[in-house]
Amino acid sequence: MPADRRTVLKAIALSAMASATGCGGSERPVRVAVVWSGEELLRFREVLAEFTDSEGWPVTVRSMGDDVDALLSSQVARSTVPDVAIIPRPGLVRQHASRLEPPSDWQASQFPLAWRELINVAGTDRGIWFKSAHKSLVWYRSEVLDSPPADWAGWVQLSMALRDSGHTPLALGAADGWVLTDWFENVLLGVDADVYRGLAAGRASWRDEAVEETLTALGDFWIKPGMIAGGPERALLTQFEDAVTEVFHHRRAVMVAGADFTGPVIERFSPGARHGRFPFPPVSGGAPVLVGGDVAVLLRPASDGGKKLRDWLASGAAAPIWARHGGFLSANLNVPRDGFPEPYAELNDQIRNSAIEFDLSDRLGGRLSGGEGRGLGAILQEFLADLTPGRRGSGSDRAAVGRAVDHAVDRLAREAAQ
Amino acid sequence: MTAVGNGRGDHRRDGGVALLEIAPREDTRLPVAGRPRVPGWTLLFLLPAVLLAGSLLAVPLAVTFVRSWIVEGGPGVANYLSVLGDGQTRHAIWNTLQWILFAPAVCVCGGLLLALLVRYSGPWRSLLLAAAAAPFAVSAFVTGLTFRLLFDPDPDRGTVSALVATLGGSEGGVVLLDPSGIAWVLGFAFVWGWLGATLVVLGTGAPTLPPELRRVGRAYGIRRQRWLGSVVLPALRPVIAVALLTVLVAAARVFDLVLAAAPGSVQNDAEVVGLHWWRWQDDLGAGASAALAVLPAAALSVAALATVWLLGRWWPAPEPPTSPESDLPRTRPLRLVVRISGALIVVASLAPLLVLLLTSLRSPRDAATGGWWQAGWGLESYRAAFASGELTDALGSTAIRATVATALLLLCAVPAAYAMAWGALPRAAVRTLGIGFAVLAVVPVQAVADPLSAALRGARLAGAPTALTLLHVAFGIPFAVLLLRAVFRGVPQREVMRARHGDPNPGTALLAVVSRCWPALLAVGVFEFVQVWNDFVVGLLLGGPENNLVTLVIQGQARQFGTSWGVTAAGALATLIVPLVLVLTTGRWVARGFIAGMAR
Repeated sequence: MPADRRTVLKAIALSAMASATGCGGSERPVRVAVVWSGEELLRFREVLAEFTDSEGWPVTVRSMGDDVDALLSSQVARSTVPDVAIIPRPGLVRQHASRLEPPSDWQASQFPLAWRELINVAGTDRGIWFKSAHKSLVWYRSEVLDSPPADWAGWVQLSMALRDSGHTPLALGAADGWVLTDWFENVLLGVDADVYRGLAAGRASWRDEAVEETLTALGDFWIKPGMIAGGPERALLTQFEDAVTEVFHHRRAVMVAGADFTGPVIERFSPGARHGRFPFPPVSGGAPVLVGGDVAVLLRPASDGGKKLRDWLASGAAAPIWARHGGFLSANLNVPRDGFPEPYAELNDQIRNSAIEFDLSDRLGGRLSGGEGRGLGAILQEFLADLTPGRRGSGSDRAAVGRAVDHAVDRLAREAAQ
Repeated sequence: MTAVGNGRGDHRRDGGVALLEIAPREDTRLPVAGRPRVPGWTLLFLLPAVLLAGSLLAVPLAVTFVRSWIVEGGPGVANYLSVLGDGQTRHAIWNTLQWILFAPAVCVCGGLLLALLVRYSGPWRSLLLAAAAAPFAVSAFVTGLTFRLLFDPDPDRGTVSALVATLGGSEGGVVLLDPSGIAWVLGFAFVWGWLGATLVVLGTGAPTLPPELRRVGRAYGIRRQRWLGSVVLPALRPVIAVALLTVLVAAARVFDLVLAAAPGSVQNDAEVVGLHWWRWQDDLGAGASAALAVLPAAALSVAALATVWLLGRWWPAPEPPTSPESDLPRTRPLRLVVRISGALIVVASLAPLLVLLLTSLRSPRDAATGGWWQAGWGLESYRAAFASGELTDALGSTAIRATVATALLLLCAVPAAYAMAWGALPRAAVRTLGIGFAVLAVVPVQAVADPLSAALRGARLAGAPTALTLLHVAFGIPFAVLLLRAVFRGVPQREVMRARHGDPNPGTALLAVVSRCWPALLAVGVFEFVQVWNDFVVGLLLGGPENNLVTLVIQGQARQFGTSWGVTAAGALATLIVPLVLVLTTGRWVARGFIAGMAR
């Protein structure tokens, strides 16, 4: 919308008023630190604009880099200490619990217990979950596929049938390490959920059979010729959103595994593409519900504006502003179901009601913790690279997968031990 | 120069026959014992530069160095052994070594050829120079992502893949972004970014030798074939040494280029020491991470000291060639060769920027799904790049930071350089300062980052805009002082003395010297401004938690490279306009300033 003269004049008048009155009172703007950028930051700004409109508090939002830790440990300049921060790793919330002002009991009670436990220290929640993601989904082109598979074996079978009928079953954005860790976590949850929890808590060993079984399942699936668009070597150069456009825009593949935020990506780059989704097929048992999420925390000493913003984010008013664009789920029971368009309302029910498991790679510490080029993601990328024609060596697929699995398990165990 | 007081004017070197001859009398007083006193203003002039560089670079460097030798309370080499014992670390060190070995050689040879080409390009000289200099204005991060865009393996999107597919080559596109090809992409990107800068350092007039040398060479009857080996190269040795050092430092500091150009799964293959340090510093522990930071710093210090030594044996050029003659080659085939290679250079320099521009002019969706040669033009990507507001914020704070840092740098470096040049300091003091600044000029950020960020956190200054600006000033000071000192030293002594005699205030003489050397000041200013504007690694490691650097905002926008090409290209272009305009408008004087600095 082009800005006409009147809007410009209005904006100037408003900003002059704001500076004359010291931003609507003696209070300074509320400072918020987030890890989002681009599209997500834009959505969050829409949320904040609504807060400023309805509550009368101006807000400045800053995108912070990887240095969340320094920010929370209050080792930064006064001018950069935020009132409210939104953090993607619950581990950091627990680590800096003493610096964070807890929400009221009533606010805390509006979240399912499984979510509360992740940020609860000594009986008190230290923040509120603002944004959540459902990571156990596979999206597909519905004109090619009509009956989704029920379990892992069925999925492999279906993929081979697709391949034999001339389609490439999968697109894989393996250039992003987290795409591969999500695959690994979903499969491991079906193989042995106890080992999954043990690894997250640092109790279980990476040499456990369940890890080996998981990697073997993945390797057997990925190594089959014609299974992945462009083969494993091209998948390693393809990022997540590229993989989505491979399927729905270029139609070079049929399925892509991806979280609920895959939906907006499909709509952005291939509007009108017919698509469906099915739960990530479990190796055994029921379908896993792997989740991720961002916690809003209020830093001590809590400012009035900061408290107001945190409370507003915890109310049901904030989430629907973002949720109506899709790719935004909320565990917050205050947010009404009709705040979410289909199919997100249904996914939202699942993250509230099912036995959820929080993303493993976001809970690992030490040398296995995330980031580009390191951690679990990088080891899985090397695992996939070991399956490429150039590196797999001679012999049967089974033998090649066996070698790749041994190598990956060795590295995982070694890095975890250091 | 001492005046000889015998009344005969023919001994005076100043020349000219004076009508009113002044006959200075011989000073017959006994010489004063002891050293000459260093004037107070000299120390005052040196103070800001020495204080900043000392506290923000030298002390942290020393802390890192000491820390690298401490193992569990006592001294030991275990940190170095553990660093060298890890396979992945060795791979990163090996990659850095390859950068250090190949990049300077390629850039300096290419730069010499380019300088020759510029000299013989006649009327096309300005165009060729501007095209070659343009990439210098582009940040390493944007360079990296531009080359990633060029070499995108998808023939629907990657320019090179599409070209090859059209020419009947591989239909599936050219895959150079994989582990085996990434070195080529990074190499191309680096040479593209640094060839123009090498040309400037070599001096566009480098192939123009001092006329006396040419006469002497001819008088001795040196034949054409041996001209290059026995006259040209020895005379150019110091210029080449400085150019080598410049590229060497850039090659050893490669960081954001790899981060931008290599896909996530190839990051480990392309990793260099600086990146490895950044990824694993917390896991390595204080001692080992210090050792890993010291290794490249030590190698670079040795290179810097060797250059200082080479510069000590400088060919005494009487006056820098301010506008070297430019002429056309004599024979027609040679003229054709010059014209064609000149055209190729212009195309190769500008094509990546053109691809970036065309990509930015497509809508985000079209740019994500097809190349720039397909339909779908508009300004939508620019709107999207600015929509979230962070780019506007970052542009503002980056502009302020770069301007303030440049002004502060000149305020600190000019007096210090003048004090070193004309401050009556003892030779040993000048030498010590020179060596100290030379080492600090090449020190990688990683070698000082740990102690610095601990200090900043302790003082609760991490993330304060003033802290980052001051750090940039400190990083700029050593190089600026060295260059300016060389330039100031070249001002004839009689002029400095004349300015001093008129006014006891040392500022007057300083101003007189500065007003003669303004191209060098401009060169230093532009260099600092572009460095701060395009900075990535200082802001990333020491800028605190907020991302208000343009390069970091672009990095945020480019997290999903393939699908954000439109937005990323638009953002990248918006950030490179200011440095590009600055470099292109001041280029001529900047080049002259550098040559003046080098030639003295």
